[in-house]
Amino acid sequence: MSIIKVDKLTKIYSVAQKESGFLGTLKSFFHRRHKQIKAVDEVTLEIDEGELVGFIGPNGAGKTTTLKILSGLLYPTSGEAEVLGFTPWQRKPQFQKQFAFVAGQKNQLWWDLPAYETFLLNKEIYGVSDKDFKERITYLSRLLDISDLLKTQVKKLSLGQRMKAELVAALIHQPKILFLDEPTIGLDVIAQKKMRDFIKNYNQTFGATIILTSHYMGDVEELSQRVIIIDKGKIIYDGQLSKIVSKFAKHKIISLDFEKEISRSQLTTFGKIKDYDKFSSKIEISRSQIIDTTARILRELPVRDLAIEEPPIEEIIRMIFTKNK
Amino acid sequence: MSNFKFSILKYCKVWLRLGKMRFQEYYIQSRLHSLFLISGKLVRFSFFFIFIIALLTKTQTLAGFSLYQTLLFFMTFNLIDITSQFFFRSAYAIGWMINKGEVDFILTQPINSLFRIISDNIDFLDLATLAPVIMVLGLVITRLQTPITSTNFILYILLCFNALLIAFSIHVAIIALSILTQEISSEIWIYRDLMTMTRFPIDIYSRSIQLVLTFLVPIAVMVSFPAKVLLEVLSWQWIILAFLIGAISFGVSIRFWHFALRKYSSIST
Amino acid sequence: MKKYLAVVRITFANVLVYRWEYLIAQFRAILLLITLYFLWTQVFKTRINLFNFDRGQIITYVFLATILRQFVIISATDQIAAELQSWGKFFSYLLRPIGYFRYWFTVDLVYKFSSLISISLIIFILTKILNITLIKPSDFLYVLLFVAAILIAILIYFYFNILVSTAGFWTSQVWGLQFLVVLILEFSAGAYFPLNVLPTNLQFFIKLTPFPYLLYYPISIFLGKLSYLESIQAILIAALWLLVIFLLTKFVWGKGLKAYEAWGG
Repeated sequence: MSIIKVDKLTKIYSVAQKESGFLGTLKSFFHRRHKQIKAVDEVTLEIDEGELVGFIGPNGAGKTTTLKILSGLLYPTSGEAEVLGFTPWQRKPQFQKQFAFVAGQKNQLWWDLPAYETFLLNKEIYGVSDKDFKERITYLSRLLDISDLLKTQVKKLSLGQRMKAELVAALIHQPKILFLDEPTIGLDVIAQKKMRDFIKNYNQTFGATIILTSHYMGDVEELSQRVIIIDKGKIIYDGQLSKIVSKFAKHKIISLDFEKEISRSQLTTFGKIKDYDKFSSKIEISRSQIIDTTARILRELPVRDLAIEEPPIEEIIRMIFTKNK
Repeated sequence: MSNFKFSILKYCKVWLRLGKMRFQEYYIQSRLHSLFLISGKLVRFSFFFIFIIALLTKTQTLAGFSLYQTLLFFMTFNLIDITSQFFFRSAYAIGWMINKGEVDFILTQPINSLFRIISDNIDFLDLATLAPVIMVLGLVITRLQTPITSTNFILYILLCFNALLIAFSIHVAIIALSILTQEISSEIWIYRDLMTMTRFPIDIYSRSIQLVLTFLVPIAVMVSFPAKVLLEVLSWQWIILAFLIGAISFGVSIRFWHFALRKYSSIST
Repeated sequence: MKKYLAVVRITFANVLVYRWEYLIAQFRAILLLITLYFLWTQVFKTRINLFNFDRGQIITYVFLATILRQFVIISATDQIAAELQSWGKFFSYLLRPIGYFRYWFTVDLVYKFSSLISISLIIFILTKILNITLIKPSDFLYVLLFVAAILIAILIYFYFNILVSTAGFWTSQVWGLQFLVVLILEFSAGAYFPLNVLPTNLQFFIKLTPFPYLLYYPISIFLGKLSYLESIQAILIAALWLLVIFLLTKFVWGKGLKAYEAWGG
């Protein structure tokens, strides 16, 4: 059952060149210089309940804009979107009670107060019962390991602890959909891992639909089964992560260990050398020739060990983007 | 119907929670600082109070009003000024709210965004300055020589609420302007200083200024009119006009707010 | 000398960038002026003399107080408390190739003169439109005495404001204190009304403070309300206050700096 339906969603910004000050604002009322930017270009997709979807793309690709439209923050220029049966930008309270929006860089927790105080605020705003509130806070804070930090001032928490508390604040009302905009940005490696584990866990335990944007491959690799690649407002790819490789990567990489010293020149006939030292090498070989070339290598060189790898996804995607320029 | 009552309860709870959180913030940051602010306001109040007494002791009347009548204008000014600041203080911080992205966040929450924004900066310490003002106001009213009828007193209270309605409209307009231009607007201070012009009865000003203060920025309607009604020097036509101005400013400001919000949702990046 | 000019240039550029904010500040002063002008005009409709002022004198007082308030009681040193908030940065400020106080005095002068010019211009236009004539000093000696009094007033406020800012060495929220102090200062300086209005015992206590020497006494000299001797007396007392405040500020600043350095560790 699709919970999010997007059809030919388009968002065009008309950016006026603005001057500062009141006189400048007055002047721009009379003659404005405009630049048209297509932030989202006829995006069409469907997401089912319980999916964990990752939007990846470079900065300015349209990920955040799409998320803002789906959460009702922005009006689209054209096209349709339906989330949980609602039109997001009508901002109906019954709709808003069912999702949460967490932006990596921005916090909703009040700086000088303990996180618990902000939890209470959200409790009132979302109409969570006392019983549910207590249960969920206990469960979530235990899962995220911040149970004894709830009464500490937010400004005294580390960045990782703060992000955890932000998550709790967003999940008090047990949203059906979670929009996460760059959730692991600025976190250290350990905090990133913890965040990803939690998101995966939450998705599996509660069946919440999670849509996250990121430009970290690690987020996408670990979390999403489904990946949507966006660049310049257009969807370039929408499907399984694993299939990206077979669709876009034209090469495989052979990893070789030799019994004797081999010179560089002996290897160049087989393919593009990616890595070399006297006893080992990594060679890039086009997919179509992989079987023939591997056979040749085994015949002609003293190979001790051989492995065939896919190129790193990071590289594939980078290649997709540079091609798209 | 019960849905509506339920909503009112929810909004009251949210309002109180926000006030409580702000109070904790101020308390944590600096109690001394809050004390200085309250003292400053009381100092300003006392100096002007003494000034009016010193002036009117010598001159007997000001624009035809006796000492206690003039004080009634001054105290009504303080009442309206403090109360409207108490409820609508967030208009001063809206610029920062926009910059920090709080407005975006508020827009995703199931609560009326205007209500949430306006309630963002409640300072319960304002009540500490409000209490003495109300006491002195009561004292001044009892010392007025003109007899106070209950009708006039009720009209006084109603016009004070009307004043809060106009204050609300002005603050909403400023918040909407900030959201539209996405800049911190210092124009709110012009409104504050215009307000201080009503410390004294507006009859001291020239005709043209009185017209500006009644129809363009209706602060005369906010302060001088209630005081005049109590002194029974305001004709019923003006009373009706006052409520009309209140209703119109409310309608216009809410319209403007929705317009600004639509624009914001179309162009914010 | 060059470094002072550099500071002047940057400060002036800053003033131009924020010209709208400065204009609003002047506009606010004009609103107060309008209130007081009409108040006194109303009072003097039925009187010729009050509190030892005639109509011309009180109107001139109000206009002059407005202009001077934007000149004497405007100081860039408000920003010192803000600079103190960033512990690391503050020491880099101290290391500027200009003495810290001298730097601020230079910035101060730019702000003050920009303010003075804009408010004087506005008031000049206003008086022409509304056909208001202001009283001029009766002779040139009074003008000199007035200027001397104002110069001392500027210095008094400069150091006094720094003194208040030193609270920033010990607490982070200084503007509450500044708010309270500036209010007391303005009333005591006669910014809103001449001190003659107040009851005599209150006047007595206020005149024991340095604040009347900021506006009230200089304007009184201008209006010829003090004899030559009394004027010189007032200037000398002001100079004495300046010395006291200067020494106090230097002392507290030194103490504050030590406490501040220790705190950052």
